[in-house]
Amino acid sequence: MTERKVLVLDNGANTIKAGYALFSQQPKIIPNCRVTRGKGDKKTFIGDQFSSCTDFSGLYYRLPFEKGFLTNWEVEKGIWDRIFSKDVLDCDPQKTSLLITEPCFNLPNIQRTYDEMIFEVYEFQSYCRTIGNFFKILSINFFYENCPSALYPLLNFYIAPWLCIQNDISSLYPNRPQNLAEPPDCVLVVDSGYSFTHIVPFVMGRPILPAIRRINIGGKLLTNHLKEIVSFRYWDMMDQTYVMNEVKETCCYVSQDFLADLETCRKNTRDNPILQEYVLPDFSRNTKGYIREKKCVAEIYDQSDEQVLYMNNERFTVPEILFNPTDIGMNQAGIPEVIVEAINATHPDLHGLFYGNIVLVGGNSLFSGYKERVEKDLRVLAPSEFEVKVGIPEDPITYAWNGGRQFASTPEFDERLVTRSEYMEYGSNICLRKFGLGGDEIDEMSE
Amino acid sequence: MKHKVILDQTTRNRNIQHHLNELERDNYAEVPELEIVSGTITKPRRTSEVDTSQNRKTKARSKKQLLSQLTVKKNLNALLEESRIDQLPPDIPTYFTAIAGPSRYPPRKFCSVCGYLSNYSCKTCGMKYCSVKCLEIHEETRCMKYTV
Repeated sequence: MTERKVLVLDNGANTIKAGYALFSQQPKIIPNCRVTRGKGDKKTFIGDQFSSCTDFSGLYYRLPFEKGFLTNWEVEKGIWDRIFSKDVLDCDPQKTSLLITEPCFNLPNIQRTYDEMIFEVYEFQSYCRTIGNFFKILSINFFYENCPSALYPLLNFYIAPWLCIQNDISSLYPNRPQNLAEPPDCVLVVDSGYSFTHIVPFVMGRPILPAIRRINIGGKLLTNHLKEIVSFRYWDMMDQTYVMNEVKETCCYVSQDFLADLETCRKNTRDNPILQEYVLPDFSRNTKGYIREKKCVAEIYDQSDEQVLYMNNERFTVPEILFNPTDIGMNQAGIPEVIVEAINATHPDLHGLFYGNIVLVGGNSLFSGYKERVEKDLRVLAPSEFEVKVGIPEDPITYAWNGGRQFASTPEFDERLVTRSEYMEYGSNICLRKFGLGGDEIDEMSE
Repeated sequence: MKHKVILDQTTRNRNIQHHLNELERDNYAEVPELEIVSGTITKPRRTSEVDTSQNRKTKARSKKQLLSQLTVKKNLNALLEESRIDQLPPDIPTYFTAIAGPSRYPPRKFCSVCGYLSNYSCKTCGMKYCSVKCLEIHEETRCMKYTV
C-alpha cells in the first residue's frame, strides 16, 4: 500500500466530518453553512468559524445543500476553502487523495459537478466513487453520449451508509455470542440525518438499489416544526434556528407510549414529570440555554428577567414525526413501516437476515429512546419467525467517517481510485469501468 | 349578513403542501441584500476558447471560467429536470423510485393550537382543534390569515 495521504470527507448537509485517514482518530465536525448576522456587526461565519459566535440572534443561514443535495457550490466552495486552509486541516489537494460521501441517488449532473469541482478546480490527486453501481445499472449510453469529457483526478465517492458498514458491525450487537468474528452478510442501515432518512439494505457489502427507500423527514424539518409550534404557543422563535436546535437536542425524546405520555402532559405540574422548563439564553449573561428544575408555585413570581420556555408535549410530539409523518400531513410512512417496505423489496430468503442486522446512524439517532422505539414498533410489524435486532453505534454522527477511515487503509481502496492522469487520458469511461460494482450480482439478489 | 368563506378540499390540500414546503426553509425571513456575494451572476461559458500562445494564462482563465460556470446557483427542481432521470424506464432505481410509500395506518389528528388529540376541524379552513377554547384561539389568530 502506497504512502498516500487520504482525506476522508463525510460531506453532510448539516455538518462536514473531515479528517485524514491515517493521522486522526476523530474527525473535525464542521458546520456546513455560511452564517451572517443581519443586524449589529454584520459578521459572516464560514464553517468552523461559527464556534466563535456568541450572539445567536438574527442569524441568516446560507446552506449549500438543498433537500439533501449539493446545489449551491458557491457557498460550498467557500466552506471547503476554509477546511483545506491552514487554520483547519491544512490540506494540499494536489498531494491528497479524497474520499468523499454523496447522498443516495445523487443526480448525475450533480455528480459531474462534484467531479469537475474536485478535479479541475481543486486538482485533487485521486478519488473514487461507489455509486458507480448506480451507473452500471442505468443504461450507460443514455448518459454518456452527451457528457463532456471532464477531467478527473482521483476521487472516491461513497454514500455514507456504505461507509458505515466498513466498521465492525458485529460489535454493535453485544448479546450475540456466535457471530463474533465475522461481519454480517446482510445489513440494513437506517441513516436519519438533517435532510431526509434513508433506509439502505446491503448484501455482501453492496447496496440493493431497488430496495433503498427515502423518507423526506430530517432534523431540519423537526427543528422548523418545533420553531413553529413554540412560536405559536409561547415566544416568537422563528428567527432563532440555532437556539431552537439546541432546545430540540436537549429536551426532545422519543416516547415509548405516545398516547400515555400525551395524557400525562395534561396533568398539573406536580404530577407531570414530562414538563421541563428550559431557560432561554439571553446572550448578555449566558449564551447557552439550560433546563432548570421546576420551582414550586411561590417562587414563580420573584423571577429575574429570564425567559423560560415550557416544553410539555412538544418534547415528544416533534420526534414522533419520524415515526408518523402523517402527523404533519406528509403522506409517507414512518421509519419502522418503511424498514418493512425496504426489506420486502429484497429477495425473500434474505428477509430474516436483514431483520436481524439493523444499524441506526445519523444525527436523529441521538434522540433518547429512539433505538428502543424502532425495536418496539418493528417487532410488531415484522413476521414473528424473524428475530429483530437493532444496533446503534456510540457516535452515530461520526460512524460513517470512521468507516471511511477503515476503508481507506484497505487495498480495495487503492483499486477503486481513479487517478487524475487516467481520467485525463480516458475521459469518463474510466469511471464506469473501475467503479462498476458488479450490478449483475445485485440483480440476482433483489426481486 | 356576514359572508363566510369555506375552503374546498383542493385548497386545503394546497395549504398543507405549502406548509410542508415552508418547513424546508433555511431562514424564516428573507435573506437581506448584504448577503449576496459578487460573482453569483455568471456568463455562459464560451465553447470556442482556444488560445495556444499563452498556455498558463489560458489555463488560469479557463479554470476561473469553469469555476464561475460551476457555481451558478440552480435549485433542486431545475437540477432534477436537467438530469432527465424521470425519463428512464421504470425498473431502474432512481431518486424518484426511492420515495417511501404511504402508511397503511390512518393519520392521527392533532389540535393545531395545543397539540393534543383533536376530533374536530375548523369549518372554514380545515385545521384541527380539540375544544371550544382552542377554536376561539384559532379563529382569532390563525384562521384564514395565512393562505396561499
